[in-house]
Amino acid sequence: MTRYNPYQDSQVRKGFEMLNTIMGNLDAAREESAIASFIPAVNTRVDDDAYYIELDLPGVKKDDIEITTEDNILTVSGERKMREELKEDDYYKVESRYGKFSRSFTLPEDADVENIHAEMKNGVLEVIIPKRKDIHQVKKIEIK
Amino acid sequence: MDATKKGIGKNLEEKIEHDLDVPKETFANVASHLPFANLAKKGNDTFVIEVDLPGVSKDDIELIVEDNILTVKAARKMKKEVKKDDYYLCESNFGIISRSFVLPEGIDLEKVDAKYENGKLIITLEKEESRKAKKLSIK
Repeated sequence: MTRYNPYQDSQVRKGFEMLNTIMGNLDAAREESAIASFIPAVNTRVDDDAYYIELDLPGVKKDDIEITTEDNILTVSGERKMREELKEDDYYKVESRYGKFSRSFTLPEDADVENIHAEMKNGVLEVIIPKRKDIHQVKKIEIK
Repeated sequence: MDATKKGIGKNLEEKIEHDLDVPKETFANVASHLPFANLAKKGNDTFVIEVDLPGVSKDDIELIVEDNILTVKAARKMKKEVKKDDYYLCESNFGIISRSFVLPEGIDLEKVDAKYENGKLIITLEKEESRKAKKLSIK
């Protein structure tokens, strides 16, 4: 018989809790990897008039892409599907990744959110974010 | 004595690491110019090769068949008015892309069909008529 030791008991419980957290994290990571099996490459550049975001989306249809802005976050999401002309069983070697994708970008302070537009050409989506010109307007205040 | 041994070991390690840099870099360069490809077979007589070529203009793609090797050569160019320095994040590989495929025997080169859509090159190959599987009727 041993003396009841509340400290020891809580240690054991802590151990189990830790194990549960680790398992939970593993599950979350697995789910995430299923979503992120296709990660489009991104190129970003800037010039005097606008910010440009290019995403490599070979074989993705325009209708399968969604662009949203919330607060100052721009998100491009969608799904890369296999071609309908062939069945999955017809392929004997597949190197491309397919599935859902999502990439988010923080918009700079001077982004003109109202006038963001996008173009799709040769499997590359270009999102153009014009710069707002009025942001650094200097106002002179008269002293009466 | 021990110190020299350690010194030699360290030198050797550094040398190996340094020598590995060159092949590492070479492999990285080679890999960056290999596009992803998917191979499929439709029935017994039709083969399909899909090559991911995002951002490439149709005019910058070349298809060559020599002996039984099909080579896809392409160049991914930046827009005329854009320089590489304008990018502050660049995950794509620009420049020459090339990949070769060994063709199965008896492909009809007159019937090779290639189309480029949505950044994907789709090549369809068909077997020669005389090599196609035929059903024979039993009399």
